[in-house]
Amino acid sequence: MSHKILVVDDEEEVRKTIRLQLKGTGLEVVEAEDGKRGIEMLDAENVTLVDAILCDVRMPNINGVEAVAYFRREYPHIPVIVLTGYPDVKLAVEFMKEGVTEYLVKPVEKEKLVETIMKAVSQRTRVGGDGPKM
Amino acid sequence: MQPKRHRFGLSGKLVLAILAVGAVPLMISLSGAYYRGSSELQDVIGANFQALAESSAGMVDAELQRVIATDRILARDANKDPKVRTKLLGNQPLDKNLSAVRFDWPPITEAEPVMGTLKASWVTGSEGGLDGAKPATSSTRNATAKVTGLYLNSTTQQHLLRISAPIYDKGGLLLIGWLHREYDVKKLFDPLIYPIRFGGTGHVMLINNAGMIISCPMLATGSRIVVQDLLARVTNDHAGWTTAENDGHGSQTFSIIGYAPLAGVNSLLSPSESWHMFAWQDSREIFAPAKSLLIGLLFAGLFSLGLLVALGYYASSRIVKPIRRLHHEASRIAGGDLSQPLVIHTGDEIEELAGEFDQMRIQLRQHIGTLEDKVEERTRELRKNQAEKDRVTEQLIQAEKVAAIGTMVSGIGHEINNPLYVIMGRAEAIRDGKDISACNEYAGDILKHTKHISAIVKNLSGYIRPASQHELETVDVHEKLADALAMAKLSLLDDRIEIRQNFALVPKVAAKPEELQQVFFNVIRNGIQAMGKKKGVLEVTTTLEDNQVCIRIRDTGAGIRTEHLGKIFDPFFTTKGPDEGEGLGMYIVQQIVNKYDGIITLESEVGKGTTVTIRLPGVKSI
Repeated sequence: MSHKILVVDDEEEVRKTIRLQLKGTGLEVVEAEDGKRGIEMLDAENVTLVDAILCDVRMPNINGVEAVAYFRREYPHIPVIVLTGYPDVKLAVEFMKEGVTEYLVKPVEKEKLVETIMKAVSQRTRVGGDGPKM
Repeated sequence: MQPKRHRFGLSGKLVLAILAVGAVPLMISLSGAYYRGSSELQDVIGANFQALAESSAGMVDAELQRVIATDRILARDANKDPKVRTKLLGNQPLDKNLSAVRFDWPPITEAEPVMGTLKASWVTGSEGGLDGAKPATSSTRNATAKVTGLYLNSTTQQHLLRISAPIYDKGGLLLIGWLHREYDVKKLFDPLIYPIRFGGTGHVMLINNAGMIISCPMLATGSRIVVQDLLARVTNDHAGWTTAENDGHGSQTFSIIGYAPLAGVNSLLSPSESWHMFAWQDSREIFAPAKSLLIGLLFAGLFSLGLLVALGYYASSRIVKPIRRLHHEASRIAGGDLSQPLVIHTGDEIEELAGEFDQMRIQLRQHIGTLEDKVEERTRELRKNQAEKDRVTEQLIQAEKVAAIGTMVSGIGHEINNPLYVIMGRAEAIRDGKDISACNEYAGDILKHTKHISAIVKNLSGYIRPASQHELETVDVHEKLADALAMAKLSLLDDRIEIRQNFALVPKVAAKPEELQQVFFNVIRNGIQAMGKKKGVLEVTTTLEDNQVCIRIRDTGAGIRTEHLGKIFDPFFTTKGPDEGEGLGMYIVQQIVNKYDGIITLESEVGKGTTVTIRLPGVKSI
């Protein structure tokens, strides 16, 4: 079973790290270089193709806070995991209120990241049981 | 203090006072003495002149009486002495109507005791006339001799007088004729009048009541005194003296004149005529002793005045010298020199005064000493307080810096965590991977990001260190603006705020670099915060104005409300939330800018933004 993950992060080095960490886990990674591009991609593609969103906070154009708010509003069935460098409790609480699945502070270990994504994906599958099956 | 020059010093005043005290009474007494002396002298001289006139008048009177007596004897003997009778009358009986028969007996030039005095002799009858001027006749045997006043013999130009003596018959009872004898008055009286001289000009003169000079050593006989007023005063029937503004001799000088009538002669003269004696001396001569006395007195007075001035000067200098010294010493004390004692030995009040001054000086010195101690103590306290204040300010700057960093923690964390995540990911890949070449690549990435983190930590730890450990140096403001901007950007989640930089070529400034960074960071952070979540521009501009480095930081944020403008630099004033700052930022900014002789100003408009301008003195070389 393959799951498609949308990674929204402006830094190529970070995206590369995520790719490395998710390599061999069967998770397919699609990348957007900022919030705006992420929204465009999600709106353009069939939403059913994305199983989870991994979103950074600090980005040009549309930042993580706004992007996540959009995702949660427009695609509430897709779980969102925030992956950020900000060790900010207030920010974490804000995101949790938005209904994000997890607020992960970099640096995060490979196992932890995979586990969190898997958990989120399984939750989506369970919660959104009415959704299309891969 | 410059000693003031006095127009009249104390010495001058004292001399003047002494002069006034000495000179005025001296002058008054001198004048009084002179006036009194002159007045008394006048009285004495007047009395003397009167006496002189009287005695002279008596002498002339007596002489004339003697001549009359001689004539009377001659006339009496005319009938008794045959010799005389023959000579005078011949042997004929004397006709009472006989007109003048001139004879020359005794021979006029020989017999007359006064040489040349007797000018002519006549005999007339008792009723006979002589030149129409008959003597008053009397038929009694006691007929007196008559004197007929002055008349001029126009031929000889001699002034004459005539004595008429009665001739009686043999029985001596019947007046039968007159013996008339004519005398030259000048020759008769001059020997009497002329010798009466006193001094250089003093003399007596004989005049008649018509003002005609009979005998005078100075004026010709027959000349006249024309001053009627004087004439009236001196031709009295009594003796006396008077003063006049003229001397009767043609001079208009002040005169003292003694006068006396010739009582004996006047009784024989016709009632309309009288003779008077007149004593006079030139007033200049009269008053010469008085004048000489006055001059003497004047010289004595002047000498006294000179002596007064000299003594006064000496006395005043004796008084003034110590006063001057006192003044000098007092000026010295007033000038602040309290070290030397003030000692003046005069044995009087000045010495006492100097003593008082010295006491004042000693007390003043003590007071000033105490005052200086107090000033020193207070200065020490102030310095201590200032040092304390500086220390507190320093601590406050540090505390604010740390507090600001506190608000930046998540931003800093983000800045470190991102490369750390990359490192972690690469390390995992190396751990799990088999491909050596990939591992080498990952190790390179790790190294790169480790260096990045190291740089961040180094920068932050340098910044966070207390300013007391930093050195003052010449700082490139652009460098510190860049550092501050980099720090401020950490709090930005995206790129909605456009950062513009317009940097001119400006000199460096003398400061501690971290403190400048703190200043710029605080202002920039405020600008960013003012723009909130909206889009905006933060513009940083540097210019050189009058060798001052001018840094303008402009935002397009909310602006500052008017009521807050005055409080911006107050400590603990803030409009931000509890986690965004302590309200010390701008206070610290001002403290630091002022410390480097800079100025910070602020312009703001609500809704449009705020511009903060910081001016710092540039160091000489760019």
